[in-house]
Amino acid sequence: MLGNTPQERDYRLLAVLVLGLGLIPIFGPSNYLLGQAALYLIWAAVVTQWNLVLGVAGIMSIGHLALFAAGGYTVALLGLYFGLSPWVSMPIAALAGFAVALLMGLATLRLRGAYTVVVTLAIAMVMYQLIVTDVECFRKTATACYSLTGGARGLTRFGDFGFAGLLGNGMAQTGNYLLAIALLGLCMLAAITIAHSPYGRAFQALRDSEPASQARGIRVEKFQLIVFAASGLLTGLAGAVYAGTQRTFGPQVLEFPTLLFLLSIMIVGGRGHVWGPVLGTLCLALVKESLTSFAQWQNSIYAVLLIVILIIAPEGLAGALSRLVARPRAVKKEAAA
Amino acid sequence: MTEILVTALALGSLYASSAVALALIWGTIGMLNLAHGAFITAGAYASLMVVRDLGFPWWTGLLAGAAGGAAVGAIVHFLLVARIFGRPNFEINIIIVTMAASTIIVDFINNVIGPATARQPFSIEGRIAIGDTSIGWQTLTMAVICLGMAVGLTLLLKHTSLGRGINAVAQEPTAARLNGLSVGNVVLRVMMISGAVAGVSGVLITHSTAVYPTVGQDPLLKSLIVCVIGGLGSIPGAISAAFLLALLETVAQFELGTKWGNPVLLIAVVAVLVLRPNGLFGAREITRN
Repeated sequence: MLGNTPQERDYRLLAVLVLGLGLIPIFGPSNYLLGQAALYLIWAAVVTQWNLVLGVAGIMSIGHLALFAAGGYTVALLGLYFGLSPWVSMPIAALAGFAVALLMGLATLRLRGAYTVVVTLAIAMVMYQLIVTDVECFRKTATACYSLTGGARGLTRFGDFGFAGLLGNGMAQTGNYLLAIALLGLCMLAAITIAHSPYGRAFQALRDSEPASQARGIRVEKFQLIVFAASGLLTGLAGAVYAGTQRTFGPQVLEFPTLLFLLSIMIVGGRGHVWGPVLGTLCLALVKESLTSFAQWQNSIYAVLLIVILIIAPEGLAGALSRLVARPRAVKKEAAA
Repeated sequence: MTEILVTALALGSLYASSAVALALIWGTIGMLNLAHGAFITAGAYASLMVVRDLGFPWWTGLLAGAAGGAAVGAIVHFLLVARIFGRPNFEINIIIVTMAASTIIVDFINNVIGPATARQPFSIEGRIAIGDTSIGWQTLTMAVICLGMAVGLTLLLKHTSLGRGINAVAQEPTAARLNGLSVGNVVLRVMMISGAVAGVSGVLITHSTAVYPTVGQDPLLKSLIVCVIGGLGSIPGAISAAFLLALLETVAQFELGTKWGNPVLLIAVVAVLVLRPNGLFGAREITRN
């Protein structure tokens, strides 16, 4: 507890963050604010996992939202056709994310760089097209006819986490918000642990110089697959939380704008840095909420932000911050010596 | 049977023309261009505006498509590629940046030109009989133009001084620079040529569908699949893979239904890559660090 390794510092920082966020509802923010915050927390959680795959393990997967969609659709479909509460279907959703990640990981394990990008992107796009073109009548009501996956309209009315009943009327958004904090906390815990593990270091060595690390006997294919699958588990869980709190799930999560938004969070925050996703989400949330009058140019604004950061500060906010923190220390050390 | 072959031929030539543009950029600059779909869209809109709005004859649409695609290629070069070419993590950063660029272009079309769907004003009447089926002059013209571009590009790379320059930059940028070649200039020309080819293929693709802001997305996916199977960066590989995949897709659509075209292609891609990680025609990359 009193240790001072970087890993323990990260755990302490996370505890402070979770507690701080958890205390906010005491000050009585509006339900709208809590709802928006819950949504951003979920996106931050997804990016922590994507960052593990793309930034830490160095697997160039662009199709991470397919795992998220697998989890979300699991909750929505089980709720709609079997009446399962999201609490019950959440573990199944996590397993669905795990399964898709395992398949994607196996398909791309031997591939390099751009080939991985193409295959993962193609998997996500094909999943999207299969859902959108699904118009066959599966479920008939008096007025309309719905397809199995809801097609382009998506699915609604499959139930939610029931916080209104558990915590009392008017508390639904508070419950959703607290659940989203728990999700982010869990995802960050996994991210910190993996990034500081020996495999995290092996991944970093591999990123810095593949031939050099191979010469030292580092082989990480197996662990790449493990990290990919583990991130699939938590991303599927995030999809379940999204479906249960937003009470709707559709193919929009697989569209380009969502991908770009999450990618901007990762790049602005700092690819490969543990705290990047949190910082990036904070920054993008501020940008998004302050520019609501330019809604039709929203995607372009994210895109420009992403491009500018990638060109002038490829390490992102987390990289810039860690350099700011590291510099005074180095100066102190020099002075002591 | 003839029907499947004719459809596959038309589809294959479309895929070939769009995929060679992607393969050219990958093979020479080592950049996976996710703004390829936006090049295609830009070409389609340039033709639409010149022919429908300015009233020029239909065939000028092809020239306008080439010019529009080349212009977007030049813009992407100056604003993005020139700034990160040769810097660390170029391979992954350029993918992210071109994806962002394509979003900006789609946003621009949506907000400035408008999101409405339009018909591509490019049509030739009449059909020609082949055996027990017939083929439209339009399909035939399309196939000829597409193949012409693919073959022209191959000849350009092999037999002109520009082609030699492009090959030099592809093999060893530093050596090319030491021999007095302006690398930036060569990269710019590659971007413009690729943009022009993608722009023309955009005009041809949209004549059979329609023109709308995200029309480039599906051809982008197809070109990516074609290039991966053909071996990223190999132009002859891309051309062969285009016809192979078009045949596969047509058969899947005839036998299983229209919506299964893309999933079958995806399964083919994964299968090929598991067996041959560098594609059917791609060479094993040998690098020195």
